[in-house]
Amino acid sequence: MVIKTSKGLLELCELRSCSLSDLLIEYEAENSMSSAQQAISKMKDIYGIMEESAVKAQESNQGLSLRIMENDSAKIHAAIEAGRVKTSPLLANAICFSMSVSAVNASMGRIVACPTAGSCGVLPGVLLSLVKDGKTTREAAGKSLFNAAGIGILISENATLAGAVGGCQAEIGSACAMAASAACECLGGSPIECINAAAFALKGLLGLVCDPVAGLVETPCSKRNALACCMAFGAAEMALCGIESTIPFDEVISAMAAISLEMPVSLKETARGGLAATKTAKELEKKIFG
Amino acid sequence: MPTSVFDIIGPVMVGPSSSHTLGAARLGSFAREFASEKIHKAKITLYGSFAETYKGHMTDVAIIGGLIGLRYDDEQLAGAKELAGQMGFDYEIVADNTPYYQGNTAKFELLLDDGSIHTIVADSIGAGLVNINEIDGMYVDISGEYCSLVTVHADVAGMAASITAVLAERAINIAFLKIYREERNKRAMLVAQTDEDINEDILSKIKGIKGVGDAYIVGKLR
Repeated sequence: MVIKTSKGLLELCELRSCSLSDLLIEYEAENSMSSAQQAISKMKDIYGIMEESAVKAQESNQGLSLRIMENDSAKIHAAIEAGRVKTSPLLANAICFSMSVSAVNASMGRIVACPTAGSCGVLPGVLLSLVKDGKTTREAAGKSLFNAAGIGILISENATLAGAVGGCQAEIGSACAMAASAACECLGGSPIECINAAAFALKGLLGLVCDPVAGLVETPCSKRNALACCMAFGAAEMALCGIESTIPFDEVISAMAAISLEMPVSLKETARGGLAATKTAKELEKKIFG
Repeated sequence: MPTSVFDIIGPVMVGPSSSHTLGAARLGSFAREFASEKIHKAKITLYGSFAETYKGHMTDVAIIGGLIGLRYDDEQLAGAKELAGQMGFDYEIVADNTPYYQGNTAKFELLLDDGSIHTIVADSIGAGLVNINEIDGMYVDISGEYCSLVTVHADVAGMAASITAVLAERAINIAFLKIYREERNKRAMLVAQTDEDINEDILSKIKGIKGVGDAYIVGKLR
């Protein structure tokens, strides 16, 4: 099985009357010359590691070594526990999980790159909060990571997942598209609805630059991961209502590739432009590295 | 090779960066593998974006971790420099901001226990993947996704045939094969990337071939 376009993926799903996750499980078993059961079991372990990193920073600062950002997951965790959430518990939980993963990542703790380390907070934030809210099961959320991988493979084949090549749209943009599609499936969406959700999410973050303050994966990375969770929910909601993407997902990916080529190097993980070039960022950089 | 689902959801690693931490740790592991863990002293020079942002991404720490045998998902990686100090591992790490190499490049100059000196130049090419560009001044192209056999031999007729015959005898399938040379009739290098692992037994047989000066196995990066 070859994955090149979302159109191709949808045709295969239609032919087999299966979900995107089922299709990707078959793909993985075929390519790795192992069984579907082995792939599912490996993904369960990975989901477990996501869970560990998503709660680790919530209740304590133990093991964290952050240089610019604070442990924001603890702040939002306290608000959730005290019933002080003003918008939606789903959003608050997603932000909380996501920020915990980002804090663990920044501290050289163990995380799952999904698709990259810099964007590792989006999928855990979205999926774990859906489970916590009772909107899906742990098992379905874990399985939907195969769906997310399908979206990631499409982007990796036709554009890039590296911030140094495509800016943040390639990292958190991709993660957001992956999470939107996975969430859509968890909430009962069809394959085409999942692809639409991915298209909305990626369109929402097209052009986003990678401008890490002092070159650290902290600011603005942690907050961008958290906010991408909120966008993924919005994208899934829109797709589930039957809203369709005017520009097909495959063309959105092509647009992302084209934007990557036009984006200046100063905005591709070099910490020379954007937020990294602000007065405050420069002061922080001097304070940390001298 | 088709992209695996687990290249996208994964790998499990310690942060903070796929290219600058995970990739860097894998480069260190590669150098360690290359030297069969017998490094007496190592000097590492960082270039390109590695040189610019290594402090923030813990690139230096990750490379040292790889060199002393820590894997990229080992939470001890954060303390790699301290651990290296306790082990008495002798290293020096410097950043070179001249645009000599453009990628996320690291140059390893290794003095081994047997007194030999080797140089490796390698890139972290994004998403944790790495590529070895130069070994001892010869341009190679090794991904670390496979087990690799590297031989340094005389540039005469029949060398590749003799070397690959040993692999064929042991039913080792070659996925990629490249041959390089400095100059006609001088020093040449062969790199065979294989599906199956190559053991010490096979290696010693290859070392015994007339005309082969040296041979190494570089294990698949796990």
